[in-house]
Amino acid sequence: MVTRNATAAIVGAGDYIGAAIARKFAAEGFTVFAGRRNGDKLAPLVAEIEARGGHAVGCSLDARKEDEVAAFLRDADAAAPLEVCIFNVGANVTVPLVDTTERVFRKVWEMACYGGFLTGREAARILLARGRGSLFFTGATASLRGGAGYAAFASAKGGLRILAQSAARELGPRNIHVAHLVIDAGVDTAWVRERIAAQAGADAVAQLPPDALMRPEAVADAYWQLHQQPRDAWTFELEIRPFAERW
Amino acid sequence: MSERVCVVTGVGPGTGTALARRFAADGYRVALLARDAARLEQLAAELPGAAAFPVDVGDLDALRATLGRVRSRLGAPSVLLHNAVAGGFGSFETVTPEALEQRFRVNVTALLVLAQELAPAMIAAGHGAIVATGNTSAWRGKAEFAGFAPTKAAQRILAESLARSLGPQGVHVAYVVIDAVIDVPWTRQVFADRPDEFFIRPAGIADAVHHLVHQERSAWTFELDLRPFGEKW
Repeated sequence: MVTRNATAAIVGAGDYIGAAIARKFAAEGFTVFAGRRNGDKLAPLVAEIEARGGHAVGCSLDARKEDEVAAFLRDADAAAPLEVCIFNVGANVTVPLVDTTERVFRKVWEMACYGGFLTGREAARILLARGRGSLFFTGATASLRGGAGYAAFASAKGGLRILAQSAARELGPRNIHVAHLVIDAGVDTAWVRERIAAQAGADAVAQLPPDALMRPEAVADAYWQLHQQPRDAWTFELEIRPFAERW
Repeated sequence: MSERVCVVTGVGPGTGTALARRFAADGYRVALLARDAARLEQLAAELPGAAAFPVDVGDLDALRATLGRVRSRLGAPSVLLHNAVAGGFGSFETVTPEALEQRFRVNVTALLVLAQELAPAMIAAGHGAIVATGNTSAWRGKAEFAGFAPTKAAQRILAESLARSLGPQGVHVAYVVIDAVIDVPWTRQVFADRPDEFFIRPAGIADAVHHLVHQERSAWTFELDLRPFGEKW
């Protein structure tokens, strides 16, 4: 395995997309800094990456805390020059508008949008000093569409998307590739399978055709390909969905 | 395994040639479609497995007949790259209905015919890819683009409709929005004062399209925007 003197930082390194991104960039020789609320949950991922000869650091990180985000990215850059930063915090909740408390709305916004601002700003400060790098934001169907029950989540994701677009126009000419990925379908996770079972019955899960849910590895590959693009042909918005998805 | 076949329409000096080179380098037999027979023959001689099929893709009967020849000579294509484009700029007062309809035929109707001709074999095989190359006009009707932008917007919507029909049948349809000026001889003349970084290289576009065509089916992209880092957008 080629080892690079470069770090990929993932803010919101959950069990599926975040972990798959961590595995991919580690396999490509990056030092991976993975942050999530409860950093202890990253121990198995870190152990797996290290066992394959990669290098990873797991951290407890609340993406809503300015000082924590700054320290996380500073530490990542100190381990090896920061080259890639991915904001991948999810906050997918569906609540009818009239039942959405002020507290829920604010918390979802803090996680999905405000945390993206903090991450983007702190990463940009480091990447601009380095003169290059990638800054990617994970979006969802709700980034483009406010579905019923998604007042809190969709408004936050819509805000994150526009933040990313503004950052792209500001940082692109300064050699920082900013992109927004619209993950327009369910990723193959235990949570998504449970949700399908709850909505359509256990049979619906059993009858899912192969590849009907996105494999986390395929999603991670999309982030990797974006980072591979030459700077004369950068993509800002990348939507991905499974072949059989209705959209 | 039989050899993979890729059809490229609009093999001009820029994107079309770069697409043909990229897919030939990956082992595809490439069917080169454009009007300029001499250019096609020259490129076909360079690329192993490639073959020239001179045709005006706006002539729909000739296009159908040509696709028949592609099939009998190379086999059923698993990849279609519709890069042929007819366009022109100028004030809307000067656009003739004939010019708009001719551009519509090359950019939009030809894509429909290509899909009708080539998709059935892809569906039967359970896989395939159809990609159309578009540009900023697919999103925005700027002044002076009245005779062109409507055709690109329609092309994008046709591709989207094809994507929703063909996706569940295993055929990946995608639309590439090239939001920049492509580095070809004529644009270098028009934008002679611009630095190299102003232009998007055809090879960069071809790499992006090649990757798009080979995305695994659990994570397909429909619309892909491409622009250079310094582009104002």
